[in-house]
Amino acid sequence: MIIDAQGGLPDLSDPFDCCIVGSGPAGITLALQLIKTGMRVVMLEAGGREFTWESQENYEGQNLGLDYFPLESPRLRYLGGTTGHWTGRCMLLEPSDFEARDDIPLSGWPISYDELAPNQAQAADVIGAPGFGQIRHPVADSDSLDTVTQNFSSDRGFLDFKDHEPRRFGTYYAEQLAQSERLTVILNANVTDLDVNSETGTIQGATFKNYAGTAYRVQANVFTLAMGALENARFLLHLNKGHQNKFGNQGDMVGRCFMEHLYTPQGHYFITRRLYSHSRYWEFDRLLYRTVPQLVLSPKPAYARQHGFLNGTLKLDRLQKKPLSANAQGKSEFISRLEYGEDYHFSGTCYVASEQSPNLNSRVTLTDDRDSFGMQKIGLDLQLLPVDLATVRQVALKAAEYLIQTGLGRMQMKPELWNEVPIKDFPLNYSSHHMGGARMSKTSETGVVDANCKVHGANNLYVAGSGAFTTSGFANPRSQSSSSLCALVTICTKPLVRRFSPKIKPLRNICAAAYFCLHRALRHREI
Amino acid sequence: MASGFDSRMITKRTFVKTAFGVIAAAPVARIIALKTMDSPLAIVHSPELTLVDGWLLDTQDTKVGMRE
Repeated sequence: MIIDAQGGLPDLSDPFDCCIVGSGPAGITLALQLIKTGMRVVMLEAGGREFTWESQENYEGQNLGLDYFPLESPRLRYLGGTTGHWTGRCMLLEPSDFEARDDIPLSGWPISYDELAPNQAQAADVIGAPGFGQIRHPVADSDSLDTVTQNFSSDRGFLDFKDHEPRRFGTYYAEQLAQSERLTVILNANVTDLDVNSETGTIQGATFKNYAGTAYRVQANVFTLAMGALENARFLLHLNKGHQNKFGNQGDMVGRCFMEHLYTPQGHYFITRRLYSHSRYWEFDRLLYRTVPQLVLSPKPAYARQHGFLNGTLKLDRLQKKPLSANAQGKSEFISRLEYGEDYHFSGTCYVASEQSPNLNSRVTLTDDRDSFGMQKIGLDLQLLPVDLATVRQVALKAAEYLIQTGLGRMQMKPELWNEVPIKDFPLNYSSHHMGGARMSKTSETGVVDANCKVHGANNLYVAGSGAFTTSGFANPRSQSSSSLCALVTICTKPLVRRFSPKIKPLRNICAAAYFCLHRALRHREI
Repeated sequence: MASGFDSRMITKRTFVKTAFGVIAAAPVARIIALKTMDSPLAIVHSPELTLVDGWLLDTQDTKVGMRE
């Protein structure tokens, strides 16, 4: 059932099996899986069924590091969370994203891709995707590049990210949530504190308030934070202040290694007719599906590792049968002498979407400002490392080299990237994908949660969501503004759940490990 | 005669084959035609990249125009 804390609540003294804080994609996915096992679950959502500024303003914070979006803009604080403005693009993390690298400090997950793979079908079902396929395909004529495709979108051509209809969790699952006898969703329930047994360290209850300031309390055996990467870190920082850093912060890791996906537009490109010889199905796709062909190139993981950069892609976007504008042609004699329809047949714009490395100095902190519930607001000290920009540069250079090697075309590059200007002078842009801050690791010295997403040092506290990402992989963002989200949907571990509730033997999808990213994207139907 | 009539019957399989052939003929012909035409851009096995007014070009691009 769904009830509203604004209107008063029934007796909540009977303990639940699990309390989930947050009803975004992570929280709802988790809740749906848990109730299938027979568990009694309560899900506390800070907002209502619809967007309100009264709720949203509690996301406000300060950017303390590199320029970034206002912190209340990339995410949504109501039922369904940030799926409310997701436009339906998904991509799996890759096997190489989970592997440790000697040259990248803090890389390497405590779990492998193969451990998550069995859950892909289940996750695809939750988000309404037809499934995930092979991400990478070798490019003809290149031993260092792959094309990137997703079955989820289309696995037919070069790349056609034909986005599926985005599933708004808040509206799509509302009826299912409301009808479940085992699930209680409480709206307008702003969690302000967790009750910790000082002797055992076990969390016994959660205190929450409605917007009138009335406080309530629920009890549960297990608690899961599913509020998004920023809020999970913020809440854990609050919790640790009063409990001697016992909850994942033994190594001062809560909030650290916050990551984004860099989104770096490069400019224009053009393609010759050789495109046809590089895509067997391109013409059929255009004819049958009226889709816009797109080419996404990514250096092979082994190549990137060998040359010391991270995961990333160059996306040749908006491929259209149109000439380059005079502005796009610039003053290059070579370019200005090209004739549309003779020398090239398509043009468009391109960008690099790339990974940010784990960085201890890129972190979520608390400021002295307070929200309407008296809790300290977020300070985001977003920082990059030189390898992050080197990755953008290398990805663009490899793709440009490939275009020249094959006679396929030419592309532009951001001059600042070519000239390797310092990070502080680089025109940075991001994808509104929030990861890290409660990173997964084997020990509390390098992370906040363990391989089961249980908070280090805690008996019964977990984190679900992209905050648990150890590394970020790359993504294919389409929009630098607005928001998107990197959600996780989870996997996890039978042992952990069995420990708390033997009756839920089949439970696999508890809070968890990262698994795929949901991406905001626009639809492309220009051709 | 029945046997003569049978030989002139359009079976479902024949119909499907013919329909598919008609539908596929145009794009197949187009692809074949385009594939026979080489790229007007030269293939450069080991390009030396340079940035010219925002464009990543091979150093040879800056010396030789593409079209005479």
